[in-house]
Amino acid sequence: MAFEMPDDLAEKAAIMREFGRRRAAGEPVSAELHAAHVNATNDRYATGPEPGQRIPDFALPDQNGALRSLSNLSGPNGLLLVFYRSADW
Amino acid sequence: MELERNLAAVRKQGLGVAAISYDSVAVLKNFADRQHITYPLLSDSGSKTIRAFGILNDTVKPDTAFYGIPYPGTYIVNVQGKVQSKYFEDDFRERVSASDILIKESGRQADAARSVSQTKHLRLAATASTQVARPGHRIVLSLDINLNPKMHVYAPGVQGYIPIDWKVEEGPAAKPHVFQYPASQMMHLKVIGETVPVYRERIRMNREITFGPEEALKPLVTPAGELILKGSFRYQACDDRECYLPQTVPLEWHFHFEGLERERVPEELQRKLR
Repeated sequence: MAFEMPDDLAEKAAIMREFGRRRAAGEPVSAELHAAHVNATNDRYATGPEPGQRIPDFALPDQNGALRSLSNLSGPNGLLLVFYRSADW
Repeated sequence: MELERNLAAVRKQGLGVAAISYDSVAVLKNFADRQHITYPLLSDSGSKTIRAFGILNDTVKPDTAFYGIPYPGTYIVNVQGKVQSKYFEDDFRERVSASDILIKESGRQADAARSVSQTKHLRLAATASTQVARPGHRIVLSLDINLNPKMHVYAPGVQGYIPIDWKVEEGPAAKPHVFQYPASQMMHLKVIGETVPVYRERIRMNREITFGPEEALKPLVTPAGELILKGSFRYQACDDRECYLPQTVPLEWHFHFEGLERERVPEELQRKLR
């Protein structure tokens, strides 16, 4: 069966393209376009545990090879934990 | 890096600091050495922790070197690992800066990029959460207004008087976010028998702006490396005897522009296609 792009996917792609084009050109983006773009890209957008929920346990090596987890990273009031894409690019 | 610059302030809040990515320990070591990063950079090479958090970016194709990246964001968790607050941006090219998070978490006033103006009716200090303009960063701008004794100004929604109006120039350099004016007081004006919403003594306001992408900021940077954001504050002041002409005070925030880091780790450390 030939794949037919569902209408809403094509529409979402068009919204994302327009948003990207305007931003790259430094053109203003209306609140409506921004909201449409957010919806289009956030279909499966996940931001993880919500306030009140516990984060998963983890044990990962740091830049010096030392194993770190919540208990040896926290200060007295907790931890600021940043997830970022890459240190390289 | 911006977080390193704000490290002392974050630690002063009693918080530890750590950052997680899918980079190898070798890549992180190289990066930390070059950028003089002193806080822990954790290596989640197989994206196991990223997946466990449920924030794997699954719009990225599995056959690229980028597969395994998270939706970027920041959590503040307590000692038991319970999330207190989180900061995630809609647009992947934007991020809430550490300076912005600090203002929100600590309730402190922004105190960088400070400039002060004085009129016949009030004194106005304009500050920002950081001195540095980085593409895509969301930061906080603050206005701290001290009214002269007996003066009052009017709150939005008032009839018959000019309410305060804080504008920040919208353009390629910065996107101002929607903000709420602080709660006003009701004042009864005996002479006209009306009760009106006013501000007296002191007004403190914070609003956020997000800097545009590098290609939009670069043309606006002065030869001295500065990026200047403009705005204005309009008001009409009255005291217990008379009302004065409305005034518009021009505002400026001066930032030092910092472009995105372009330097990569040595080739042999770079992540290859799987």
